[in-house]
Amino acid sequence: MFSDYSLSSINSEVPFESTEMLDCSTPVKLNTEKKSGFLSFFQRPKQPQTDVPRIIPMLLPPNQKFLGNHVSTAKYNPVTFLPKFLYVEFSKSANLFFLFISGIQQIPNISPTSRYTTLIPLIIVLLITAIKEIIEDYGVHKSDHQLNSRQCKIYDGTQFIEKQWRDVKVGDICRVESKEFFPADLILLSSSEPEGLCYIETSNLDGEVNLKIKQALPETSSYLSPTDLINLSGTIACEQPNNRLYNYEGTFTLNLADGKQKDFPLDPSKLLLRGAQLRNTSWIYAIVVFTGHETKLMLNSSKKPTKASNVTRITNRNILYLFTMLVMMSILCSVGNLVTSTKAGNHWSYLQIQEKERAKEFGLCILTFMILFNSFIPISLMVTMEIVKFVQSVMIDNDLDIYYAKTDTPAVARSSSLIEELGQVEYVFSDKTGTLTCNEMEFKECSIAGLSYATTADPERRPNSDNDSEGQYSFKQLEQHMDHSKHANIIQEFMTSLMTCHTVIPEQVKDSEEIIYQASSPDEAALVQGASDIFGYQFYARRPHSINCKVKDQDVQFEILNVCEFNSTRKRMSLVLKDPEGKIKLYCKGADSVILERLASNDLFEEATLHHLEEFASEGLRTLCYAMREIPVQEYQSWSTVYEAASTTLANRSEELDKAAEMIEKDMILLGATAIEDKLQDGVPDTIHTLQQANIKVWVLTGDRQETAINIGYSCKLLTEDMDLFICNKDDRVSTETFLAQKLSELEQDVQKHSETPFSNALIIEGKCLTFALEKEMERLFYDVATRCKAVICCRVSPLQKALVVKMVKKFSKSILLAIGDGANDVSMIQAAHVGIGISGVEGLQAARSADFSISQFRFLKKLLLVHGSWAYQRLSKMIFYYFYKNVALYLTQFWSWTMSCFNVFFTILPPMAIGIFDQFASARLLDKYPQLYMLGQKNEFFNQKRFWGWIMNAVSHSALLFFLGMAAFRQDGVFDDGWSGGQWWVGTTIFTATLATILWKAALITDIWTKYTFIAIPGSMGIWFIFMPLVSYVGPLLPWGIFMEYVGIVPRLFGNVNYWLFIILVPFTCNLRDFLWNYKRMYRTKSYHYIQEIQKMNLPDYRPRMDRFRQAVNKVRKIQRLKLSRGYAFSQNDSDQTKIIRMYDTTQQKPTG
Amino acid sequence: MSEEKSKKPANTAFKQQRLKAWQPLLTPKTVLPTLFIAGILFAPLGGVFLYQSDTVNEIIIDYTHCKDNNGTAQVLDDNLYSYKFTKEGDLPPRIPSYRFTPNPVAGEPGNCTIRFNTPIEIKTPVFLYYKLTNFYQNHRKYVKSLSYSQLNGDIITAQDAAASCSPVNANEQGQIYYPCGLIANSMFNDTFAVTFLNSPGSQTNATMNFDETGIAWPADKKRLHSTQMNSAELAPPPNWVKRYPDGYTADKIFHPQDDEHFQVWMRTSWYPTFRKLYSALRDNTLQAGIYEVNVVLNYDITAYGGTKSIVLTGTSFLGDRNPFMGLAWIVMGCVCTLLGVVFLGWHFFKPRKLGDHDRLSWQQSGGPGQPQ
Repeated sequence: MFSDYSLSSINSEVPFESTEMLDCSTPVKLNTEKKSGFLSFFQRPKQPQTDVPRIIPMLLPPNQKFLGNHVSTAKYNPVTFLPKFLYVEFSKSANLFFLFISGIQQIPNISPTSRYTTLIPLIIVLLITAIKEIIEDYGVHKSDHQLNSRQCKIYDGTQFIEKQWRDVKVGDICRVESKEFFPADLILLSSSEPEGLCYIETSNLDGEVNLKIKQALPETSSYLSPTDLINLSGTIACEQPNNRLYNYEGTFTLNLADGKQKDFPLDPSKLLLRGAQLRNTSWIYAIVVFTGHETKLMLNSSKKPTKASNVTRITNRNILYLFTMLVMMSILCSVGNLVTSTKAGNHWSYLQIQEKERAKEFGLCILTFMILFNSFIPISLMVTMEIVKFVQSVMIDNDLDIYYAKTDTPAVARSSSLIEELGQVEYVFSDKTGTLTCNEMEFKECSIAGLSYATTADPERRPNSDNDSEGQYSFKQLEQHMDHSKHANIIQEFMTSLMTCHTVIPEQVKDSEEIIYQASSPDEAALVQGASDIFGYQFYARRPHSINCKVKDQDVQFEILNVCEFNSTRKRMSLVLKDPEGKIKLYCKGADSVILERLASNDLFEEATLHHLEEFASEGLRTLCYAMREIPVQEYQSWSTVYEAASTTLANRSEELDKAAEMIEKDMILLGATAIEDKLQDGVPDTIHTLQQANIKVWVLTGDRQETAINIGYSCKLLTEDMDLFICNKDDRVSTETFLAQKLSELEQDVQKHSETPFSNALIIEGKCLTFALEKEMERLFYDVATRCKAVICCRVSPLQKALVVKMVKKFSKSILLAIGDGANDVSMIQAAHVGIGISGVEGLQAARSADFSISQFRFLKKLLLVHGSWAYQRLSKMIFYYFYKNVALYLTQFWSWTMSCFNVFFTILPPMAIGIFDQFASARLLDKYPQLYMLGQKNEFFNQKRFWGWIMNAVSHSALLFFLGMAAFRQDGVFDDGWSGGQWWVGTTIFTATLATILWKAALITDIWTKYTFIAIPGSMGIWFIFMPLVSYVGPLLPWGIFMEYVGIVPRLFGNVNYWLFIILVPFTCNLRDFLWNYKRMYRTKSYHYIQEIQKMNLPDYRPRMDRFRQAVNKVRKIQRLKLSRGYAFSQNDSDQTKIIRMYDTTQQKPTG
Repeated sequence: MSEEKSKKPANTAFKQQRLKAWQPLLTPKTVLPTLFIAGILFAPLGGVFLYQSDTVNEIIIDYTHCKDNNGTAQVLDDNLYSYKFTKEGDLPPRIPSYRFTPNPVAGEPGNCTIRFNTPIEIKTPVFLYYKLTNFYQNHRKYVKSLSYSQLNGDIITAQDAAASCSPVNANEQGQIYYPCGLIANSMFNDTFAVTFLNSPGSQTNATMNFDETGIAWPADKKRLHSTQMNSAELAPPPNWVKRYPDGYTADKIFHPQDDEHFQVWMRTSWYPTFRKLYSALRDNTLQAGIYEVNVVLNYDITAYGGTKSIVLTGTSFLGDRNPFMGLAWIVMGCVCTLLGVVFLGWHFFKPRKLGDHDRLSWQQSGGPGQPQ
């Protein structure tokens, strides 16, 4: 078997091409991706070396230089922080603009405003951002440090000593103990288990929580103690680091005792990847092959990208528009200035403008006007936005509704800058395990001998008699049936099959009776656990050729004769055993389809069981059928020889074995079926249903198999009975493409036929097909099909594929994408999406840490999106537009009275803040009740370019009205009955007051609800002005800086003047009359949210709950009518390896201590 | 109290965003009354304002080109004057005229005699303004060109003066202009004296007692003080040479607090056409009859491309004659009433049920997001 597997063959065969289906295309993809962080960095130097193998001498310093095991995922270090940070910040157009403005403000005699009016806020903004970045990065540094200084045991030639992870070098031998993570990519040498076996869990890498088996080379598996290791020497030659998780090729050249060298091939089954965890194995010895950033885990991860929200992007764009407007206005004004002053010629001698300076004056004039108008683009907006978003994120952190009491975890908004993005999500990409499901399997129901049993029987299906296949019995009743029913023996057999036919390993908990079942399939563990807990059929020890059980506290031993393994084509597993009475029995479990085919004709229970299976499936339970047969000794003996022959053939062994199994798996009696619940997290179906109502498309990306995924799809209501499923599980590129193309044309025809019915199709695609579908040429086709489906489920996907799916949708669609997941395998997807949400659950915090928001339950997504998201989006869009409006209105009217401009912040900062923090266009309850309101955000109803220009026009018209009405009123300036003139400052202040009143009035008009803070903010701002004004007038001149001299004595002239009051009442009213009626337009151009607001205002009772109940009833009827093929078969089990487990393990034996 | 602090958020109305709030909704019930009330209030008020404005008599006479007059009385063109009287008086209104009398001393400004009549008695107080056009007192450079501390009497350095008053900050000898700056330098300095010709019952002309005090804001007067600087360090601005031909001396120096015309001028105007108060007749009415205003033409407005006029006017409580406030209120009142009627009709003929579930877009057939 171990042929001479030389290195030359690796080199010549181009080993990484297309042998592995799952991942072969992903690295190609990645290379074509934009250079992302260190991925590109590490791939570049790798390129020329790909042909050269990595040579790792054991326990000797290597010839090649390798990277250390120190890992850094931080963005900055103290040296790079400043340049990197400034580069990022000043690549934002707004910041660059403000830098420019504050630059020209430094030129003396140009600026009408103070030198620092822009510079100081800019510095504050940058400081805040910098502090935020530093805090964030500090956290990363800290966790990096933590990781790097984890302890592990390294062999120093005589014994194992503790070292930190960062000191692990290529070629070291390390000892890893149970539940520890691997510090680097390792090659397994030996373990505490027989034959160098070990169990690992790789959920950090691929999200699969079931255990995987790795096995060392038989030649090394005997080195079981440090003293043994002294004799071990050799060299490993292997491929260069790459990001393919499932590939590894290499040669282990061992120095044999007789001085000769022998080569042994290495493959992925001997490779332990960093990020994985050792389980159920007390220790292993392994040699380090890849370290630090060269490990497959690190090569698969990408740096946390900086994300900007859609609203921010639009705002930046609008700032650019305003900037253009500003430049044009400045030029226009300067030209106007030049023309009038030239035309006026000497007439303006009282201004004493020097003739020769005209050109210079013109240039300076442009700059002056630019500074003057720069407040169009409000730097305070940036500050306000940050503050408002921060407060909103605090609100999310503090929301009791999304606080999970069980684990005492509140929601956390990690990046407040993305908060409004939550209101515009169109696609949700969800992980399955740990996100939708709790990752707990529970034995819920079963059907035995044609009768249905459940933990708690359905009260509506109370059985009429003791033998009613329509009814449902409780497990308690099952106990009675077990004792005295005509099918008692069937029940017994069913129980026995539950107890014996599996590959579970029992583990006695120290100092207790309790037994923990370890399985590579969580379903099996649940079944065995169920048999033990519910029925008292306890399996407690496994030996290579027998298993020990307790049936109702009586010891029973079964001799295991043969195992016919489970694999995905067979969809069943069988066990041949000899029971204590010496009878040979075959127990078989598997998918309904394969079991039913192999039953003896006229099975008694077939019909009833099938019926039950459908019921189980409709409840979203995972089902397995159980059957058995007693085998006559003669038959067994003849079959046994066939089987032995098959198991020793060299060619096509597995096929031969399958054939052999086929011979004996026939004429079986159906015992019954089990139904396991893959426990969904609370409220998942409801949440998914609500999200779909909100027009959010939910895609589930899971590492599970197709059947399991579909099953979960049904149970979480992502898939419904009325949906057509497109199942894509082809093996090659061409058929995948034909399949997708065909479905696309079907879908398009569907649209033409009945344009009204929404799509009710679901696409289920296998990881293998996905590999093809994500290729450049097919991407678009896949996107077209997938987005036309109501639901998409991708099964058997790798973490990178998850990210690629997200990136693919991102590429073709402008929609906002949200990814939610809980494990480290979801990190890439979370980072790729616009908004990443991490479930801070049991599976560690990696996802939560790299996410933008973290919640502890999937169902909290509903409130997070529908309420917080909608609010944030609506509030921010209102606030930003209002901010633009107010600045344009103020500055277009007020540019002559510039003194005030520096202080406008005092009077107009509160209303936008109040809107940004307290406004609610609809209450949380109604947003939750009417998820359709969410579509407003998706369609960008409140923050589109049209609205922006609308607001700007609004501002321009208001300022024009203010200006011209002011002109008409005060042209003659004779506003006092004692003949005095008001003068510039009087008129300026009056118009400023009117402008302020207009702006505040507008704020009042757009505010949907008024809390006490709104009252403080909006009328209060007017109050602040009325306090500020006298203060400035009376106190200002006393200050030593000689400011506010213009306002001396103005207060009695203003407040005592009737024109002042008449003006500030009439003009804001005039300005806002249109806006007032525009709001009243709701009566006649009614949008849906207007109705909702009315419902809220009038507290109308709604009849929707009744509707829901009605719909439920309809669904139930449908469910009953439905005679679908789906019977809910799902089983997660790795192909192969089961015999190994069964034959190798002896749980009664002591293991070596290593 | 447990050691482990629970991370459970506080259940406060603020943090749970359940603050008590008022939700205003614009429904016919609120909008229609608002419109009608606004209409009912605004229109009559506007009427009162308009009426008040119309009680003001106003005479405006442009005398810019008086200096080009050849010495005989010249009747003014229509566009150079405006008479606005509240009623037709006993006397027919006479078109104003003016006559230029050159000063016998060469280089000294001449006089302009403006003659007008008022057909009715104009009630006290009567204000005399000068009105300038095309004069940009609001120019950015102009507005800033003054030194408040200098006018406050403080000692200022040449640098201070240059900073706040440039380019009219100091002369070649290094004397700081006092008052410095463009505003002061360009101060209007025509003088006016009003005479009543042939007052009834008398053959002689009576000088009307137009008072040149009380024309500035009290605050403006209060804030100004004589300079504490040595008169030798100071010089009158270039355009003030006629007023202080020999510069400043210890006894002959400018006292800003005493010069109300200066104070009026310094309160710069926001619009290139403006009027500034010159004097007021407070103790007597302006009886119907013929009047003469004698103007000393010190100020050459034509150099600045503008015009100058005298304005004689009374005031209402709204100030001088300006129908804007009245008209604006009336118009707004009418607009509101009209809109009120339109929307009332609309509401009457096409009422809409509030908060109607059935009209939610997704309740209608085929709405998106609705599972079928």
